[in-house]
This record gives sequence, structure tokens and C-alpha cells, in this order.
Amino acid sequence: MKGLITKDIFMIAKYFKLYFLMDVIFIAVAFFSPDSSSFLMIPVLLSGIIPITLLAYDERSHWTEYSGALPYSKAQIVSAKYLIGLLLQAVMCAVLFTVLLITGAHYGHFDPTGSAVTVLVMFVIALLFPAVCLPFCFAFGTEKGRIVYMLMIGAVTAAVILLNRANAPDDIAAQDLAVTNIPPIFLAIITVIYALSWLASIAICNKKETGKV
Amino acid sequence: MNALEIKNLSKSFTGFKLDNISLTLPSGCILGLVGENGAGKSTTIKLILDMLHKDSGSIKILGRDNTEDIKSIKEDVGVVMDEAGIPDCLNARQVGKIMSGTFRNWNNDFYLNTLQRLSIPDNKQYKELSRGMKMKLGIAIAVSHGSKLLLLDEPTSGLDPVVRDEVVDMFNEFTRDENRSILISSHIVSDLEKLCDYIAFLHKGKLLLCEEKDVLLGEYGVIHCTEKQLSELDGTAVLHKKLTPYGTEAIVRRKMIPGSMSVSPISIEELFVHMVKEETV
Repeated sequence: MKGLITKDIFMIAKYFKLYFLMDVIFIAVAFFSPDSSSFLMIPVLLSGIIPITLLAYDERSHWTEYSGALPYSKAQIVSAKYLIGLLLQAVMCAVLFTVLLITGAHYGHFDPTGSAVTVLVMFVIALLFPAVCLPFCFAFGTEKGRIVYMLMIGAVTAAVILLNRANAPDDIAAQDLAVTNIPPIFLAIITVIYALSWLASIAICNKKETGKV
Repeated sequence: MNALEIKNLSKSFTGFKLDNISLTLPSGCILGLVGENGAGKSTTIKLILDMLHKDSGSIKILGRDNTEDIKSIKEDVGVVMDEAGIPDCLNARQVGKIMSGTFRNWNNDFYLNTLQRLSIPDNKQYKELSRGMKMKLGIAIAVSHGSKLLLLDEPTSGLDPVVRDEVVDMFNEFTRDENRSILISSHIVSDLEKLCDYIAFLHKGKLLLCEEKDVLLGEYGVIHCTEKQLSELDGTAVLHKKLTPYGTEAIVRRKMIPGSMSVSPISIEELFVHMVKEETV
């Protein structure tokens, strides 16, 4: 699988320069903003689409077909995309955590626990995108998978708006309890969803023929 | 040992059926799979690699059933597809790094030497390479991991004559080792005639014949005569006839032609066209 990961890293370095430039811009904007978390959400969401875009490039270059002739199992071909998605989010969240700490210290609200919770929530939301879209992409191709991605953007945006409108509990103790308990639950849920999505994609690809005429 | 054994292989799609194909490629030999576009050549190669799932029949690669641990079998098989499949943004050096993480027996020095020998630039992006260069890169990959069998799907189509000749030389060089074999599909019959020990004709999903090339060329020939001379021959001796402004040209079985008649050599292409046209006397 090393070859598959190496290929994806080469392709990320080549094709996603613009994404990373946008990340730098949003991080820079966040750095000069007292409430930075909303700006930092955008790079995380953008990186969520990278595994899907990589798959689209694979389809376009006929790599999908060629990889079927190489000594890889379908499980390895699928796993490479899930692993890349996970690695990208991990790196992105590590960067964002650092930025949150620095901006927090700069604006006088240094809060490592709060920053960790924010990054964790971003991590969960960002992983939800490839987790939902990749099985569709493997089953029906990336063009249709992208439609699912667009629908998800709409759903997540609507959820955020609804959550913002909902009243937060007045009780400080209840707020602290929510901050402490909800992230691990979210993490457990996304772990299960990501794992199920991964297994579903492997099952889809095992059933599917490569390069059907 | 046979490099490849296919028995009663069938696969159906909507509007196409690969029907009960059986062929054998002995080690150290080159088998040319000839057929028009859509005859089932690529389908056969994809079935061999288990990229498509067969409906019935069996396929053995280097003595092993292709449904048992195909991943390990593919370590010994070099493949060149019609659409090479390398991402556009990568250069040959990066491809080498990817393949070194792909094949257990990847020989990067050999690969880099092959690139140099074939004048393939190692720093140019794949999309900037010509069709010939892309095909040569595909071949360089296929021969750089100690492959014992090459499966080549239309490797010479779209290449200019000079590059085609170069590519054919590479394949000849590859099979100098008697443990190495090649299955090559093409609709450019002249390339296969130069290269192959065995020829298989595939037409509309059916295998018309699979025979040693020299046997085919020895068995059949072409005569030029009058219509009257032709009518005097045994009917089973003549496979195909064509009227020309200079008389009649016929494909015949050499053994059944009287010694008084001059029989010219036949090309594989002529024989293939005859068989495909299904126009017998």
C-alpha cells in the first residue's frame, strides 16, 4: 500500500497547491480575528474533499483501471483513500490547534481545553464528508459522489445555523458537562461511521468489476 | 510449464459475449491475440487479471489459478494497458518511487537504465510525453519488476513505425530468457507477425483459431490463377477467393494444391481477414 500512499502524496503536492494557499489565507485571517474558529472551519471542510478529488483524478487518468493490474487488493486501494483522508485531517487539526492556542494567547483567552474541543469538533465534521461521500464515489463514480458532497455541505450548514439559534443552557455546570462529554461521544460516533464507511467501500469495490467494457 | 492456460472461458455483457475461449501460452513464447476492435481482446486480458469476473471456465497464470491469491500472481506479471493509467502530473522518476512501493521485486536501477536506454525523460510530466513515450514508459514499468509474463493490450497502436519497431525489439529482448512469455493483443497484425510464436484469432468474442505461426504459414498459401483452374481444384483446398483485374486470387491449403501450381506465402493478415469475412467458396 506504500506505493498508493506515495502516489497520493505526490498528487496532493502537485494538484492542491491552491487549497493550501487558501488554507494559509484563512489561517492568517483567523490569526487577526478575536473569534477565529469560524474562519478555521473552512480549511478543515476544504480538506475533507481531497480524498474525493484524488479519486476523481484517478478515474480521469485511468489509474483506477491500471491499479487493478498491479499487486494490490481492492481493500488496499480503498484503504489508501481513507488513510489519506485521516492523515490530512490529523495534520490540519494539529495546525489549527496550534493556531487557536497562539491566537488565544494573543487575545488573552488562552484555553487549551476549549481549543482542543473546538478542533475535535472540526475533526469530526471534516471526517464526516469523506465518510459519507466515498462509498457513493466508489459505487457510482466521483461525479455522483460530488453531488452527495454538495448535499452534505448544505446539511452541515443548516445544522450549524440551527444549533446557533438553539439556546445554550444557562447553567454553567451544565455547559461544562456538555463541553466535557459531547466531544468524546462525537469522536466515538465518527470512528464508527468512518469504519463502517470504509468497510462498505471495500465491499462495494470487491463486488464491482474493474474496467468493465 | 505453461505461462498461461485458459480453458472454456466465457463472460457475458449486454450485447457481447466472450464465448468458450481456450488457449495456451507455453513459457518462453509470445502469443499474439489478433482481433478487430471489440472482438474481446481487452476483455480476455482483464479476465486473466481477474479485473473482470468470469462466468465460467478456468485461467492459470504461471501454473496458479488466477482466483487464488491474484495479488501475489500479479507480482510476476507486467501489464501494459491501452490507456496507460499513469496520473498526468507525475514524472517517470516519481512513477519509479511509486512502483518501488508496489512491487516486492522492483529494480529501480534497471528501471532508470531502461528509461535512459529508451530516451524517456525522467523529469517530464506524464501529460507532456508523446503517445510513443507513454507506451515506452508503460513497458519500462512492466519489465522492471522481474516479470515472468507480460500482458500487453494494444501496445503498438497509435505509435509511429520507428517507435513500433523499437517496441517490438524490446519484446524480443524480453523473451530471450526462456522463462519469460508475452501475451500481446493487437489489431495491427503485421506487428504480431514479426514478433509472435503463436497466433490466436478472436472475432466477435469467439476464438477462430490458436496455432503456431509457422504452422499457419506452412499450411496456407496464396495462388493466382484463372477461374477455370480454380474450379478444377478440390473444393476443400480453397478457403477464400477474390476476383482481381488480373485473374483470381485464392487462399488455399498448400498440401492439396498440385505441384504444378505456384503457391505464394500468405501473410497472417490475409489469413485473418479471410477468416473474419467468413466468405468461403
